[in-house]
Amino acid sequence: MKLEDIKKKNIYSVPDRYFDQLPTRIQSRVNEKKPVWGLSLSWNLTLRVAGPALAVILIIFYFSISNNTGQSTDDLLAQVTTEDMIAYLETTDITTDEIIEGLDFSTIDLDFYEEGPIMQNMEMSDEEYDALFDEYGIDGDLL
Amino acid sequence: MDDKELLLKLRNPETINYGFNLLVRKYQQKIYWHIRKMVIDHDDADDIVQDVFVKVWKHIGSFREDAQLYTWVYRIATNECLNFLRKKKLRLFLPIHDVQNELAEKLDSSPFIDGDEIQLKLQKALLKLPNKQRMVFNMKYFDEMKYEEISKITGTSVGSLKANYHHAVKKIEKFLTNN
Repeated sequence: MKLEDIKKKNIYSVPDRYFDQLPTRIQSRVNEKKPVWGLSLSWNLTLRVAGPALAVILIIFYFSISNNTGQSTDDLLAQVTTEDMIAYLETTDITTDEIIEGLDFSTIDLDFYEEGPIMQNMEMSDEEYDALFDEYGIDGDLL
Repeated sequence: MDDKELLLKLRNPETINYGFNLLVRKYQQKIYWHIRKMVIDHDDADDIVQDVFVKVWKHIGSFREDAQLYTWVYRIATNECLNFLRKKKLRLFLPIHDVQNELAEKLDSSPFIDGDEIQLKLQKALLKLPNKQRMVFNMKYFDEMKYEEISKITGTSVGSLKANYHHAVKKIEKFLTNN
């Protein structure tokens, strides 16, 4: 069957006076929509105010969390284990010199300058020195 | 009143309501029938046609004069219509043929439909087409629009529209012959 064999016809219809009333119904919806412009303005205003307000709230929240822990940076660092600290230092670009520069020697106990166990162990008798020289092939008379 | 005069009234705050009313009266029937042929049901078409003109009202300020007013209104109507059918499919979680069946049932049961057997058969054949192809067919066959006009509304090339229409006619004739 060909399309030309069928008479072209609009089979659909509408209720009586539908097109007479439609413009009024649309107009009433458009009038209802007018406050939407106001709403859209309010939304813009809300967004403009909400952005900075949210930022302030987040900052306050961050500081309150920080304060609630009651821990200073030193306290937090003290909780880091030596192993973790070494692992961290190995992966950073900080040089040994920079680490030494950062140290305050006045607060560090340098016990090994005193006669502690390490230095005590360094005290050897002449026989012990001779045995050590023999082991490494060193002529003791040259020293 | 031609579209240029209409636009002048729509751009003037003192005459915008009057201009909009004239625009609705000028295009309401064309837009309604354009939508109705796609959604079949009068109540659905009534909802969509109102939504279309509300959108026209809201966006009339952004209308560019390089397009024709009626092409722009038609384009909004086409988009609203296709969106309605797409949402219907998504909402019902139905494959496309089930939406087609639903629309075909409406052809048999909805009020405000009056056609003989062969006319209803043609409409059921149209429902077998993809929505966009069906819309192109309606605009060409029933509304007797030029390909250039359809091209401006759908944003599809004239060549593609011609191929689309030719394909649609073949499918419809095959359905009419086999059913």
